[in-house]
Amino acid sequence: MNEPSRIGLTPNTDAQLDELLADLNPEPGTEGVKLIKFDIYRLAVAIGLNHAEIPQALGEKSTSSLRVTELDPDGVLNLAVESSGLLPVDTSVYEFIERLAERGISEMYAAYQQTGQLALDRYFGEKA
Amino acid sequence: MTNKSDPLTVLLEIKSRMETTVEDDLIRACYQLQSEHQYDKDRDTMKKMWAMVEEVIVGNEDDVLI
Amino acid sequence: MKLKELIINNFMPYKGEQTVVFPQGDTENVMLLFGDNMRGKTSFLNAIRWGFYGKAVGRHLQSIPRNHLVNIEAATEGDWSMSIVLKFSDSGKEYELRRQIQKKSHVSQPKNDADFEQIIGLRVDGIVVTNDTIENEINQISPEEISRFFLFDGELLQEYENLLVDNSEQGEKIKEHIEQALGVPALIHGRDELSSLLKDARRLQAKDAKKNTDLKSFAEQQNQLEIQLSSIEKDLKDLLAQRDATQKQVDDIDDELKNTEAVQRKKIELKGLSSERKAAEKQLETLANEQRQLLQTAYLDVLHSNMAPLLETIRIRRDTLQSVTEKKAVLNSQIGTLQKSIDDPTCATCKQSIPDEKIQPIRDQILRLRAEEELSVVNPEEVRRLNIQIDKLATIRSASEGRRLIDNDDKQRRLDVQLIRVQSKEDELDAEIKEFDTDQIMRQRDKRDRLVGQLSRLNGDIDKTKADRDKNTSKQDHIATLISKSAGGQGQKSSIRVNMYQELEAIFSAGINQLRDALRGDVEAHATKAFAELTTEKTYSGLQINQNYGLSILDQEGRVLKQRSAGAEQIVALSLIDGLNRTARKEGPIVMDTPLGRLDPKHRSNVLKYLPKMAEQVVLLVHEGEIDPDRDIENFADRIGARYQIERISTTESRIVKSN
Repeated sequence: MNEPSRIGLTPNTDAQLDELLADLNPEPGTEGVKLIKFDIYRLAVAIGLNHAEIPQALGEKSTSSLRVTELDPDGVLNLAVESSGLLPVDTSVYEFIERLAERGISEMYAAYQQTGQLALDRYFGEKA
Repeated sequence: MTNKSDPLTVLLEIKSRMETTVEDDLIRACYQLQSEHQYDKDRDTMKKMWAMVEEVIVGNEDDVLI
Repeated sequence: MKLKELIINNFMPYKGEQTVVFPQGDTENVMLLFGDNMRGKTSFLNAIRWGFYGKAVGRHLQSIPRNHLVNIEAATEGDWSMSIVLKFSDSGKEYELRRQIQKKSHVSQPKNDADFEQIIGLRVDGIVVTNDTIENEINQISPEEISRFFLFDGELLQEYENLLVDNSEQGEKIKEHIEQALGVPALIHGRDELSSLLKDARRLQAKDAKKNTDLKSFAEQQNQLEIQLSSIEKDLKDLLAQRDATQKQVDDIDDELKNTEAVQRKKIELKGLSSERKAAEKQLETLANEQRQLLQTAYLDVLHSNMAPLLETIRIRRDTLQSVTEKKAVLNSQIGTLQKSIDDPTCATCKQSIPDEKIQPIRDQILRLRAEEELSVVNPEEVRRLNIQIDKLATIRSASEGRRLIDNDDKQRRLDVQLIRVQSKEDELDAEIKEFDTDQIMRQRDKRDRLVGQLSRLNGDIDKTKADRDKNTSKQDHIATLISKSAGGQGQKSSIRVNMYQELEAIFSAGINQLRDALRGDVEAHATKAFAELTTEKTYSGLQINQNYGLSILDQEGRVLKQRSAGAEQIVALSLIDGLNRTARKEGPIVMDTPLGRLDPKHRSNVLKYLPKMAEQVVLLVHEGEIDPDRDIENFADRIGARYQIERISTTESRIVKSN
């Protein structure tokens, strides 16, 4: 299976990710810890692996803006996907990861819109 | 109020200690008049008292003449 | 007199119609009215006072004008009507009193009392009473002068306490009120009127004397003195008016300045809130950074728990394989040892050959062991692979980011609430403080000092004028007596008249003083009894009353106590009030603020136990912060007949509701 060297999100979801980052990060010009796209991307993937359902393939072409070697330098995500047993046949690991991220970020954004904050107890609370 | 603090009693008691010529009855009448009208908005007790005193004076005068 | 019902409509903060029913029981004779500020409670008192006497009293005992009595909300909505209905019973009769004011139709914005018309109605046992006798009827049951002793708020209690401090200005006011109430109006009116009639009598006498050549000079003198007296009395009237006006100015400034103390306190509070807010904001910033930091590695926490079961499974498999490998090694070593003994069948110890029969079982044993060994199949490759997997998976470490994120979120949420609370309080204070101008305050302070100086000068002038007046009247008395005793005057009607008025006036005057002394004695006796129940110090022998109605505490030897604590002042003031009430009036209700502010628990408990005994009905206006509902009310829970609460609907509207 050929692994892509770059993955990303659909343009719409990519815009949503930007919005989330703007909300979570401190005001431009102020000091503090700053989150980047990779951070939320990885979190969305990890949360996605808790779902029973397998995510669909992306509807449109992704932005392919994230280098896989930067996203997953130690291969942790790769390992997690392979160990999960969810990877469909004929799908490359990172393409699957891209799907997980796409779904995960859409859901995070939707929840954030409704409540004004991340649904922390859903992501880290008791497993359903 | 206790008995010794009854206004009329006090007045009469004072009167008896002082050397006075006024009669008990006049004092009683004056006090009664005031007491009845003490809360009236427009009191005309002064006129009435003057009249009461005049009556006594005239009455005494008659006595003297007689 | 017993209060039955109070129906308020648009009175001060009480918008619309609100009803309060007073307890009628003999033992359950206490009504509690809870409120969280002075205004609602004072207004309640005023509602009753206004209902009875058409007067509502504000700070410094000043009258509140009608346009300030109508509820602001209602007035804004165009409803300028206000009424109080009082239902009460007295001497077996049922009374229903209604007092109402309504803005006059041609007036658009009422500015003074004349812009309102007042209607009063009274029914006794259902029968309407004619208008001109209503006020008299009410005063016969409950004289207005005495109402001060049964309708009093915290401020009035403070004034009573000031009374106990010698020579205080406020004390003077109360003393006047007490004198009026205890002086028995009949005697005072009598004395005043007789004094006036005496003047008339002297005038007539002087007229007669003029006709007599011997007495002409007396007549002249009398005339002169009369003219002088008129002038003195006019001066006195002017001075008194000036003093009242000046005093009012001082009182107004005092009110303003009192507010400044409040402003200073608010400024300090604001500063405190500002630091509280800054601290909260800083904390929130720290928490936000912490949150982002946790989010950066949170994915590892998720993956860790996600893969925990898998890791567990692999570990178990690896451990199982491991133990099989170990078992194999053990078996091999056992086989090796046995084989060795066959290959070289010499006993190591005794150096003799092992007989054939012994060798065969060993061979069998070796075969069995070999069979077992062959069954234990282990693929070392698999073990190696599993170990690699385990190592890989173990790199996914959790730092409990999930739990920490949830804790962090909790803290942020609580801080947000705190922040909002602090911010809105800051806004409130800011608005309140903005209304005050500090330069103005300085100017007002100076003005007050000047006015106080004026007051003391005026008081001096007033005293001097009074002295002049007294000198004048005694001169006139003297001359009148001379005329009466003279040959020409004796036996004259006019002289007799003067003599009679002199005597009557003297008797009434002496009567007032003696009666006051006797009543003062009664007040002392009652107050001493009350004090005995209220104080916690049982060695005190009683209270002693002085000319100014001040009360001193006597110790067990009957000596006056010099030092008194603030709590003691309250107790003494209460005793005075109780004494005055019992002396000055017939049975009736008491409506009062609970004076619990500065009392220690033991005194507080004594006061609460005693209050229900002070009158047939006791209405206590309680500040929520002052009383511990469970602990304090326990003291007289069995005496409570009704409980009400003043609910604050807005800054301009409150509602009295029955509570539990």
